[in-house]
Amino acid sequence: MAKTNAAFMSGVPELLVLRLLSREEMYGYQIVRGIRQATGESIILAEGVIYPTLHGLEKKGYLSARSRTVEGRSRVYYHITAKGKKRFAAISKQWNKITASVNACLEFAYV
Amino acid sequence: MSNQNFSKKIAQARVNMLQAGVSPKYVRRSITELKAHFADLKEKHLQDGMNQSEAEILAGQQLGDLQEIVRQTAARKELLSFISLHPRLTLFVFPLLSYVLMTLLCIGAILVAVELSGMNTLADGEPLPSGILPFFHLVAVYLVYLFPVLLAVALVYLGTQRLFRQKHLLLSLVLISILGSIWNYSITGGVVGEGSINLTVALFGFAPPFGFNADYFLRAVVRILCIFAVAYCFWQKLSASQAETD
Repeated sequence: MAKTNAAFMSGVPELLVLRLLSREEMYGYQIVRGIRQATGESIILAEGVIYPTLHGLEKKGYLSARSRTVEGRSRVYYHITAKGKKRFAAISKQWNKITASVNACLEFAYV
Repeated sequence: MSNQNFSKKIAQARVNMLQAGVSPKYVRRSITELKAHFADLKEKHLQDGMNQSEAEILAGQQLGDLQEIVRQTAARKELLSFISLHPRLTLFVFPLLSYVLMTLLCIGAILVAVELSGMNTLADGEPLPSGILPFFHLVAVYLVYLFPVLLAVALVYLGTQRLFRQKHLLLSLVLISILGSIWNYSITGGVVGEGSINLTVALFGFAPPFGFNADYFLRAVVRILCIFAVAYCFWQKLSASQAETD
C-alpha cells in the first residue's frame, strides 16, 4: 500500500490528530488506526512519524498526556485540551476555506 | 526487521535524538512509544496468521524509517532542550554567573557573620569571636572549595545525558576548574574568642596587588586537579552505566 505524498500532507496530521482526540483519549497506535479507518485508508502515514506530531502538539499545550500500563504494556494516552479545541476549530476553518478554493479552481471552466 | 535489528535501530535512534538536542523527556517518551507501537503491530500480524519473522519485518516497515522519525523530532524546535538551543549559555555563561552568585553568597555570609559577631568593621586581620568560626568554616568550605566540584559534576551529568560534544564539555570543565581555583580562603582560630578570616582572589598564585604567592599557586593546582579528577571519574562511571543500559 503506497504511502501518502508527504508534500501534500503539511499540517494534515495535526488536523486529523486533533479531530480524533476531540472524541476520546487515545494512544499512538490507536490514533494511527483511527486515521486509517476514518480516511478509508486513503491517508497512510509512516506510523512512527505520528509521535513527533503528538509531542509537538503536547508541548504547545494543545494536547495533554498521561501514562498508563495496560496489559503489561506502557501506554501514553493523549487527550485534547481547551486550547487544542480552539486550535482545531481555527485550523479546520482554514482547511475548509482552502479546500473550497482549490475545488473552485479545479472546477473552473476555462474558456 | 527482526526484534534484534529493531532493538539496535531504536538504540541508535535514541543516541541520534540526544545528539540532535531533543529534550531527554521526549527522547524517553519516543523510545517507549515506538517500542510499544512495534509490539502492537507485531502482535496484530501474528494474530493475522503471519509467522514471527514476517510479523517483525512488516511491523518495522509500517513503523517507518527510525532515522526519519529522529529528523522530524529534531526539526521541531519546541522539542529541543534549552541546553541544546543555547549551548554556549549553558556551558560557558551559566558557570560564570554561578561563580558570581557564589561570590555574592560568600560575601553575604561574611557580612552576616560580622553582623552576628557584633563587629562594626571587617578590616584585614580583625579579631573574630570563636563562636562564629564553625559557621564560617561551613559556608567557606562549601562555597569556595566544594562548589566548583559540584558544578563540574553537574556539567558532566548534563553533558552525558544530552551527549554534548566532548570538546565543548572539556572546554567548559577547564573554565570551571580555573575559575573555581581563584578563590582562596583561610581562617585562623587563634586564642579563645579570637580569630581572623582571609578571602583572596588569586589566579595561579598571582593575587593582585600582592604579587605571586606560592601557597595560593599550590592550592590552585591541587584544586584544578581535584575538580578534573572528580569530574573525570563521574564521567567514566556515567558512560559505563549508560553503555550497560544500551
